[in-house]
Amino acid sequence: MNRQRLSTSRLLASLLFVLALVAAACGGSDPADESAEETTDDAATAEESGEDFSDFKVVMILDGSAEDGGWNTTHLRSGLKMEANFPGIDFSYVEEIEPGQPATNAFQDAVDAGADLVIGTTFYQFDMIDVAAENPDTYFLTWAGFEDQPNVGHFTQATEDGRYMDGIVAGSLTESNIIGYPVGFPFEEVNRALNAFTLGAKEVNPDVEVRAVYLNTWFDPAIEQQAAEALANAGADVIAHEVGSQVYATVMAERGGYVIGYTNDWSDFEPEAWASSFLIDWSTYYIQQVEAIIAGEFEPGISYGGLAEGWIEFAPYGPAVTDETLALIDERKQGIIDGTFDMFEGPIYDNQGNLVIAEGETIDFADRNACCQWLVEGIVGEIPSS
Amino acid sequence: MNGLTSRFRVSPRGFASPLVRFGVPFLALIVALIIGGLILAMAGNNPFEAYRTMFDTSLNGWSAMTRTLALATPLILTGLAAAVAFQMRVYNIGGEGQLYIGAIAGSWAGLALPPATPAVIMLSAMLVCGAIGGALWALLAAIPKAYLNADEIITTLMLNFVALSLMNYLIFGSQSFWRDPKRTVPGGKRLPDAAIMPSLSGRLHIGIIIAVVAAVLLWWLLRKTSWGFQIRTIGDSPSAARYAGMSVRFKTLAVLAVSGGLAAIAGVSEVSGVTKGLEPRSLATDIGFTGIIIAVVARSNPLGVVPVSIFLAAIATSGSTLQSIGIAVEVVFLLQGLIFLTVTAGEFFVMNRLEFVSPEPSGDSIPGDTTDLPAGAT
Repeated sequence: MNRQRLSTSRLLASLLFVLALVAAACGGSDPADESAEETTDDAATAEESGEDFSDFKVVMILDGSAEDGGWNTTHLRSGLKMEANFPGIDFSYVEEIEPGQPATNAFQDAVDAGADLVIGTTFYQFDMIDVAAENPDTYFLTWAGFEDQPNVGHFTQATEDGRYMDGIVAGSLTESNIIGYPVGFPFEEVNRALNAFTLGAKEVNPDVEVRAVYLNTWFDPAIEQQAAEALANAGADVIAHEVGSQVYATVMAERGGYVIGYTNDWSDFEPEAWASSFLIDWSTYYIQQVEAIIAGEFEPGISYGGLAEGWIEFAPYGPAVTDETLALIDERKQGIIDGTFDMFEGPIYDNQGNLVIAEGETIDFADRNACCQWLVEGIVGEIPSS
Repeated sequence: MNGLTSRFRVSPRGFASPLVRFGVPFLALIVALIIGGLILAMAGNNPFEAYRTMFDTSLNGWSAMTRTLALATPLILTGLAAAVAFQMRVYNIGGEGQLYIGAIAGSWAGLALPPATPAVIMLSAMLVCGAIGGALWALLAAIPKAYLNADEIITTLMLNFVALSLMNYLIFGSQSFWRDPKRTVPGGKRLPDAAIMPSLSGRLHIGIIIAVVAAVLLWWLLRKTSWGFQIRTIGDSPSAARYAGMSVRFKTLAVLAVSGGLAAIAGVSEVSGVTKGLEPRSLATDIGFTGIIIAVVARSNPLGVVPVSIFLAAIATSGSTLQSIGIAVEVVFLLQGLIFLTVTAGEFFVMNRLEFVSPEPSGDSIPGDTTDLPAGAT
């Protein structure tokens, strides 16, 4: 997800820049910690099944730390699963590559190093599209791009498939009927997930109220802390979020409430407060694409995947989630996979009282990416200034 | 801070001979490479392979040079922005925000003019619009500074956050003129071809020429004109300058406007030459803040800003290749920071002489004002 690197540390850094340099030098000077890091090369203890992929090179470019415990960790985990699937394949990654010139250079470096496939884990489209045009023999995959090019594929996850299940958990756990939901920026994918979450919560608890707060950041523990406490003070006893930090778990643990994560398994962090989180598994997609490239059948364009495609998974559920809830979740998951359950089936009203999806209508899976600039009934909050 | 003065005496050199001028940075670089080599060896990497990779990626050959110069382009401009303000001891910490405003105003011009506009007119309009935007943004801090003596360090710093929020709002928070409505993950509209700075070679675009010309112009302005003389005089002693009849107030406004304009041109250069649309994530990469470091290291000399920026870009550009030969990203950052820090710290010994003294009565304490560095930088 697009994380903005703006924090109070930047404020400090600008005032104490020389100190910051020194701190960076000292902070990193424990290389013992890092020695274990570059172990990806031997991760594929190839089950000698005959096939050998050692002439195929994949480079993954991560915009943050591979150990961020979130977005990039998910991608690396999926990359390692892909690696294990192709004995001998040459898989490596570079991390902390900011969009803009550094990303363009990193894509070029990967091509120069002989990569057959380069995977970018964030919105790198415009940083790599020229490199892709200049190197037609190398394949490129980036998250959430859209521009067509014969050697470029894009991928986006159907977050809503996972979020609906998280909503069921939240709706069944809340006693105050108030669920807090701090979010990053108000755009389609974010609103769609929030809508799916609310629809899930309302299925089990029609009286529930989801309080959405747009924070305009992807990661800022100080602001997130304030939001978490404000929501808790307003009566929220379950907080779901899609902003980066762990403060929600801390605040909910203090207040005896529950937290729902975002693409992270943090079930060990505050185990009593932990309820659930959907996860993303990109390896299905990566494996398909590598197979297609090797077979000479690569198809450019965008891939959109959810539960049915095997892209969405779930972290272990917390101790408070009942068997009854789990049974309902299994039923809904199966329904989505079979195509018998559609969370966006009308009638659906937005929180201004307008009918947004009429009776008997829905949003086709393929069109979901363009949804939503509205918030479903039950959400307290507005999309700012659209 | 002065714990060492009992053993060492620091005194400013009146004149640094060429041997000192060039020898000290060279020695400092050797020292940095040796320390870095030890760290690399401790981390289990081959130092020679690492340095070879660094050199190959950044300086060895024209194609490596172009990527270093492309990375240095916005750094030169934000470095100049900080340098001109520091010459008058006005601490513009707002280069980052002024860069965003330049990118916003510049891309506005690029999108608002008809796509068929000739490139020369289009690019000029973008540069002018961007520079005016950045200058006006800097005046938001300059006017309170000039008339109310409000601390510009605080105001320029805080305005960075306002500018970032504004840029985020235009792309993530609203359906603004800049935002491409067809994109589901918010992003800026693509600039038309005429609004994209022509490439000189590979990714190197004409922004580098603009940056170097700006450096020479600024040097000329500061060193060869009475305006520049007044700026530097005010920097040395505002009261003396006032006594001599100089308008400190007006100069404060002018210097911050020029500074903001330069940082904004960095924003235009990035948006037109690199991101080709208003892309907050690619623009918010601390280019403005890095300019402050560059200006300090270059001792606010516009001509010094150019090599310092190129040096910093050369160190920074090898990040992904160093990782690809198996060096952990933390070690890469450590190595980059170490080289830059050591070489810049070496500058201290160019400016100052360090002598051993026997522990004697503390009558001869050293005046603190030995360098041009702004307060707090050491």
